[in-house]
Amino acid sequence: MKWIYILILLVVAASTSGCVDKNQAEIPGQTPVQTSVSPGGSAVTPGYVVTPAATGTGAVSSPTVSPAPEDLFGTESNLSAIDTTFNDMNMEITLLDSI
Amino acid sequence: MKPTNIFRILTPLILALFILSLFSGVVAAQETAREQYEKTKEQYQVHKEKFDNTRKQFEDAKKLFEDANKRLKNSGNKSDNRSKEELMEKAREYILKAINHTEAQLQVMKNRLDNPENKGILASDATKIIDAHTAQLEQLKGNVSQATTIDEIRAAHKELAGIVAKINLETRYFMGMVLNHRIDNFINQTDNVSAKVDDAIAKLKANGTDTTELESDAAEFKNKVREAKDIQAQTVALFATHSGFAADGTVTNEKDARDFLKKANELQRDTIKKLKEAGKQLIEFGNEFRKLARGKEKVRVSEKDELEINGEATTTFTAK
Repeated sequence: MKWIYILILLVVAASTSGCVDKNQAEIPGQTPVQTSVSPGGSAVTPGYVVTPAATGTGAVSSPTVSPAPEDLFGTESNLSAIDTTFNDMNMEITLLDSI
Repeated sequence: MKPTNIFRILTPLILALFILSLFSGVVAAQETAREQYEKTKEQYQVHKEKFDNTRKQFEDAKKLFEDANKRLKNSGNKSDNRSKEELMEKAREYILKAINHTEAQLQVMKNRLDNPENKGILASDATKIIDAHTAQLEQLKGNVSQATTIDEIRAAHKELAGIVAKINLETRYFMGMVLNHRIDNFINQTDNVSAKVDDAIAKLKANGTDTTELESDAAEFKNKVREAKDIQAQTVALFATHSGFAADGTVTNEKDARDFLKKANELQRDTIKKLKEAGKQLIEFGNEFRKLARGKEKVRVSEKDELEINGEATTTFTAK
């Protein structure tokens, strides 16, 4: 009885201190509905699950991106980010020669 | 309940709360990182969407002006005041849309450079250059709105063309620096991947598994990465000369700047091609690795940065 009481208290304590129910949106394997938009280069392609990098620093850097099963090392998502940056590099406005 | 019983229950509870409070800091930090990441991503999306929208508006306005210009020329009546007035309004609209589009391009670039991931990669404060261009464009917008003659409109267009030419070159230069930074990061990561790949092969070999295919994929992967590294070294050396650009990234000579960017662009394209080939090779490695894991599907790199096969008996390969 005492242990059940302690267990209930622990669950309540855990949820109030923020250790439970915080990362439910990041269930591994779920595919966020995202296009290959790249914030500062960190592309997220469909099939990848974003999880914030273990921190302590509070810096954004790139949150780690859990790769799709066929991309063991997550290199494809990084390559996609590189592609997006390359495309942004070629932004160019073409005006008429004269009016 | 006796005081001793209360004490016996409260002691572990307080201890548990203390331990959990230590973890809550980590959870909070993770939330902050995620929130910042999401915020950066949203901001980029907003700027990119605005860039795409303004491009469409600009292209539409440009076409309307060209059509009006053609109509006036074809009519043969160049003294038709109504048509001339219409043409002037179309020209004004076209220039204003061009300014909006240019400002949107500057904002995409600024967003990239403001990203904490890219902090410190430029020797100069590029955002100051971007802000100066934006102020220039805003002033020009005012001039165009108040212009009363076609000559004033033409002068504004000429001035805009000069600013846009510089912005186009500076965009390519600054974004080229950002791209170099991303490529360098990727190449650095491949060293870690190579270590994991080697470790996995060594351990499979030690178990008596035939790793010929894996070794071939790994060798090809490393070969492509080496080629990419060589090209990237040339790119970095080229950027160190920044021909046609001052040290702060502003254009000093348009022709030199254009030639420099053309070479840089070709090199970066080649590097990306090699890296993509390396990535493809890595996928081949992963497929072969799965085969050797006897069809077990749960082959992955764990959160602890280990290459794992989760099957009847879990085998974990840890990078050294």
